[in-house]
Amino acid sequence: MTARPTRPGSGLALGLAAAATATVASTPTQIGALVAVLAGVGTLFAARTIARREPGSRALPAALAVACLAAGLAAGGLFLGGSLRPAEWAELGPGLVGVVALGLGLLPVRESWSGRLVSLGGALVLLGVVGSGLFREAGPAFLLVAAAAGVAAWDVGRQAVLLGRQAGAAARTARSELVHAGGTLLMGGVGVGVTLALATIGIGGLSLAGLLLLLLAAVVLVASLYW
Amino acid sequence: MVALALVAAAVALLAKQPRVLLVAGVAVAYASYPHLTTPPDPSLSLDRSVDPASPAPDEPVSVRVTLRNDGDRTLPDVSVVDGVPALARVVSGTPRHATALRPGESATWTYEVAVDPGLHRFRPATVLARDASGGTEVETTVDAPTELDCPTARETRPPLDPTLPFPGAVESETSGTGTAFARLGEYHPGDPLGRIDWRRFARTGDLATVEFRERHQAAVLVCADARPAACRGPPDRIHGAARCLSGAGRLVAALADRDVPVGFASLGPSLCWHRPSRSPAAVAATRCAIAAHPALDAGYPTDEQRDEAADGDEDGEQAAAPREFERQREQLRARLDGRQLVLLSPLCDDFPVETAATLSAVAPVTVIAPDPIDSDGAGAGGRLAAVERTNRIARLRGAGVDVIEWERDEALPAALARSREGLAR
Repeated sequence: MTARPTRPGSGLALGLAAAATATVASTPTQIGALVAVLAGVGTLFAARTIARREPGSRALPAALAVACLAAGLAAGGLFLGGSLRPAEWAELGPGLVGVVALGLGLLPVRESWSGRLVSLGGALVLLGVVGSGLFREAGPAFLLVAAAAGVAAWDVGRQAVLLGRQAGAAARTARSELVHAGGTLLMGGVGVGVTLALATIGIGGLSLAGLLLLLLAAVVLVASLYW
Repeated sequence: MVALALVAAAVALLAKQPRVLLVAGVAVAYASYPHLTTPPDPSLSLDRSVDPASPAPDEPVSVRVTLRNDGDRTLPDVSVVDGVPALARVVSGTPRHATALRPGESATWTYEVAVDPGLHRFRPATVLARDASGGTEVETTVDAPTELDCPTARETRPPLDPTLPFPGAVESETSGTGTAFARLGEYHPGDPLGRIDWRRFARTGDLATVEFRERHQAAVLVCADARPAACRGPPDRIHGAARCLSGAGRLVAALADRDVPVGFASLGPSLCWHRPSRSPAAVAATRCAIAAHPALDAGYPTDEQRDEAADGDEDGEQAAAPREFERQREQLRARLDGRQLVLLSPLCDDFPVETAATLSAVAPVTVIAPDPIDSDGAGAGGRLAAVERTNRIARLRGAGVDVIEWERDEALPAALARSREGLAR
């Protein structure tokens, strides 16, 4: 029995991670780089599928080369073009590496690394979102949607790894995964809505001391949820 | 999620960027998600149909499983692993399934298994139900008793004869017809002329009858080594003890077919004992007991688990177990009563060697040794284990015990036939 992550969840997680990154990094150059990296990861998945169906074929090494070439060319083009400001790198860089890590975890390059690579990928995507919030004037709504999508990508990817271990990639798991992803996205939507509603009340006008108190209250709330 | 909330909040505070603090709001929402969903309380029923129910050996059997949510709450995330019989092989499809079930809804999936001759019993299906967030997981089992009876059809047996190549039937102590001289008895009118000792009559004038030892078909006791130490084998393959039990099932069926009184015993957490008998009811009961043997259950303590447990607490249990097995050996010795013993053991440790050597003093013993080691995938540890096992076989042969090696991926009759050829040569 193989314990590789299930396909529907893997695809969905990668899509969500890409969406999260694209929401905050939305200049044409950034989108171009993201598409190039996604194409590379997609080629890897296709190569893996072909290699599984026809063991001993030469498609996997060839596609690996093509994928690496595509990703390399895209990155190189961006560097040489030099059209990205440091702030744009700060929001795009972690996201791109995160998408690659997620892809490698779900491929998987190694079954025992899946969980850690998916968590690393999710964390990097979220780091990119936080970076974007720091350096750029993107609207809070974009930021929140990107954060929700990043968390959902991590959650769906983790679920794909878990179901891959419990049910196997050969089993039909799409329904269960869609329900799970639907629940997570719904929760994300509620979170975004509530947070935006709170934001419009106007925490911007609070003093730093007030903000600190609010933060303390949030920490106590979060802690109480876990103890 | 808590980490994300704290990181976002700290970054926001340090950079004085309220927008980043909002990210913490989303994180807190997600952190509270598992607490908003109620833990699942699965109430499920399983229906399993097999076609055909009495398959020929290696014939694909289609298994159709239907899982139904009998509760009144939706189960958003249910993973099921059907309880495939321990000695069955899944040949197509997968016994695993994951789905979401509304109240009253059911999910159906099919897969195919193939079995060796014998009685195979499906085990309860294992169900993992999670709530929508995946925060809590409930494990339960659903049972639907199903059996596969793969007959050892007479016409399928030759040319592979599953009976023992060592027909070392014990010469009985009672005298009668036979070939080996037993004693001279008093002549009774009506004794066959050919058996009267005429030389003695010429010498002394007394009539005496030669009596021979009667050749009885000796009862055979099939004994399987189902101790946790025998539950070794490559991952995802049936382990040594399970192969011993499968072989024992086939031997019992084959010997009973030939009208040989056959009994069964297994060494394990407790001694399982079915006294040798020729009656079909007793043989059927014995075969059922083998099919439902606890060593075939998923929860049976294997040696690896016991090693882990022993790491925690000191070796109190470790020391107690061998004494229990020695007690079982003594019981076996007392009940053996001169019957032929066939011991199936993967020979993973020295205990079966000692057992066979000890018991061979009181009864003829044959050891059938399934190979539990996957020589291709095994590292240095596997090679060492293989050498140790070869040494054990050599020691047994040196002690005058017949050993039949049962290779991995070999059917038992083939192993017996191979050994029979080796003897004839």
